[in-house]
Amino acid sequence: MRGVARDVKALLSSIINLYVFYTLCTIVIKVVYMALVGSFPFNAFPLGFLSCVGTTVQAICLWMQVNPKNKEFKELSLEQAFVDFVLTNLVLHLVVMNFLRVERERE
Amino acid sequence: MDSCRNGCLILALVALLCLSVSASPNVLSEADKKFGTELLIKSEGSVSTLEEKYQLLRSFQVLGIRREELITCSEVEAVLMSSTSVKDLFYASKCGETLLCSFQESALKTTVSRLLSSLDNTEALLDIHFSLGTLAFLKVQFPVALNDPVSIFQKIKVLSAEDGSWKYNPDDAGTSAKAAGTALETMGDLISLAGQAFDDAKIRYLKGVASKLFEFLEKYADDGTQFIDERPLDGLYGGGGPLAATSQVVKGVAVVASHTSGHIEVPAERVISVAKFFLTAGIHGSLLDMFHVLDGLGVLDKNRFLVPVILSVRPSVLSLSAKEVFKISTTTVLGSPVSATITLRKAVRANEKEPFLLNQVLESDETKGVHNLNDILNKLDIGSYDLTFKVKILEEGRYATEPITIRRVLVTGVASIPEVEVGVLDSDTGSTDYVKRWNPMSKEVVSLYATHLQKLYFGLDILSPRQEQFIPHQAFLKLKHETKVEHLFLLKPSGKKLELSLNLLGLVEKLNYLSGIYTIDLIVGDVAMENPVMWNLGTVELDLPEPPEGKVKLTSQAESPFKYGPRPEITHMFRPAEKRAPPTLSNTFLALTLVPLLGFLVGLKLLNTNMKNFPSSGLPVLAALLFHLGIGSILGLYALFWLKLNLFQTLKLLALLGTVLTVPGYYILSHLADASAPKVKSA
Repeated sequence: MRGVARDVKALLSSIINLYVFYTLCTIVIKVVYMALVGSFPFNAFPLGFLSCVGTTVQAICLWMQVNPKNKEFKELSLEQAFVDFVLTNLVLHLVVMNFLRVERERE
Repeated sequence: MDSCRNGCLILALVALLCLSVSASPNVLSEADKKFGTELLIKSEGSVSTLEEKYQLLRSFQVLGIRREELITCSEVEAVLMSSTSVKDLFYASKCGETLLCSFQESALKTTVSRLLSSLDNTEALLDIHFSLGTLAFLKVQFPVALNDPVSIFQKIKVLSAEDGSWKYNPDDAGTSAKAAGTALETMGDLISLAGQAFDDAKIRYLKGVASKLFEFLEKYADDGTQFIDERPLDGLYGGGGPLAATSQVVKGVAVVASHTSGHIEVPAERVISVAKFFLTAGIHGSLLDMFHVLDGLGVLDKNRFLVPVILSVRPSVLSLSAKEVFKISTTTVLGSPVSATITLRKAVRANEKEPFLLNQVLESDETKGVHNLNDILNKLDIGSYDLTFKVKILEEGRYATEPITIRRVLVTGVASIPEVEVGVLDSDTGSTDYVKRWNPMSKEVVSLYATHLQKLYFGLDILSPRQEQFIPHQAFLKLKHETKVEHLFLLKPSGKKLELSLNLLGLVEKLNYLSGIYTIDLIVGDVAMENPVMWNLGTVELDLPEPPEGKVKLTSQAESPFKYGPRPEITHMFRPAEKRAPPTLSNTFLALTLVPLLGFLVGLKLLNTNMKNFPSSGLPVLAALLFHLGIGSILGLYALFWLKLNLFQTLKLLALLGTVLTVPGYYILSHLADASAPKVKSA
């Protein structure tokens, strides 16, 4: 049975890996865009950039917590880690949306 | 009559100017009194009530004039016999007092009995004041006896307040100092009618009230004047402003002083500041204002408590060329001389620190109370001086004055300008190409020629009557082109000489590149100079270069509307819009951002991820669905937030959704935990 749990964990790890990879790609694209066009409206670039970075970081945290090889987080269950991930994402996106709104209104 | 009126107007303007310019008020001079008389005569036609007639009579009396056309003694008697208003009786008796009428007891017996009975029936201060005032006047003519003086005294006293002010009626809300002055005057009249009813205690009480009244004085400004202000209560009982209030208080104290023996303690400097208040107010304005000022001054001129003495320095503007002399006098407010010794402590030129003269006792002409300062006249030069005097009055008990006073005087004279140096210098080297000394006597005009590479130079010395260097306030040089365009330049003192150096290279633009013949005028003036000058020194022909491309040479016609007409409109230039990326490019990148997402989904598929753990039946299904829906709805809320809502609305909805989310979330996650835990544990 441990094998199943291990498999589940391993599976989840690779999903998270994939997710991390996805957010990193988005970052690269945004930086390239900004380099091309210039940074008006100014706040749009850091917002987009940091939003992606934030989700990346959260994903990495989740990965760390879920990784079977990681000794530190053994006490925390999968679910709790997942909830942390979701909540932090929600807060990050709230803040990002707020500033996006300000940018929009400024126009 | 018309020329008299015109003369009055001019006199009025001059007097107003003099009164406003003087920093410290001067006593009423003959000119002031004459001016006041003219004003009063002019207002004779418009007085109708007894009160106004009394005010005019009293004003004339203070100015030393008798006017019998206003009202006669027989008219006064008629009023006294028939009138039922205590106020009319009072003012009629005051007119009679001023005109020095005399009446018989027989005619006025009924009046007296009417007044006595009204005294018994009234509680109002003003009624008591009018009745007692009339009776006090009549007592001078024939004996009058009061029924119960002590009860009248109590009636007045009961209206007093703790701080020394008074009410007019028992049911008044407030008190005032003016009412206290009226009360004092009334009680003074009471003493004259029934002195034996007043024991020492009452007299001491009255004197205390009188001294305390001077504490109600307020400062007018920083000029050393003080006055009694009118309270709202006074407005209900006649008003008249601070002039009336101050005059009434002074009158009240004077009446008490005249009917009691001994001394009333009044602070000397306050009496002097009240005198200054009246003198600063001056005689102009309405009849009412003039009456209050003159009435107050009349009381301050002669009274038994303290007579303020004012130092006057005449003239305040002394002309050296007219060989005028200073006359310094110590007089009462109306000009009666008071003996004193005056020392000039110091004389300092304005804006300097070192005194010019120190400690000079003035020689005096005792009989006329006039002192002169002839010794210093030959040391005085033109300009402003602050003279500090120390006054010591010979009869100190009755009179009071400021021990040290400072007066500012202006000495004017004829300044001389021996010559004006006019030159053309080379700009670079400073060497003189041409110099001419212009002499005001010969009036030989100068004819200069200069190009833009040269400098024009003007220099002059101005000498005062004592042959000292003098720097005037206004020293200008005016260059006027033949097209009437003028330019003014300031001559500045350098050392003790006045100079102006015009570097034409720098001025070319200011002169608008206008070449041609300019006339040169020198303008010099100062308040102490009796001979301001505007001299035409000559002409200068300026040869200036042509204006550069694009700059229009303004003619004089073009310049004037520019100077005085409307300026060109300024339109606001908004910040130009920033460059945005072309829409195609940004749309492409939008699509590009979504590519990794697709990559993610594809990857998921490749990894064979499944939804096996998704519960299939019962409550877990609902919870799981709700959980995912909740998260989805929050993300939808964020999108709305971005587009429409503000932070507060969003936070409210977020709180709502969040709580909705936690329940199913907790349930489903704990369900999953339970489901996988046995797997873990069993392994």
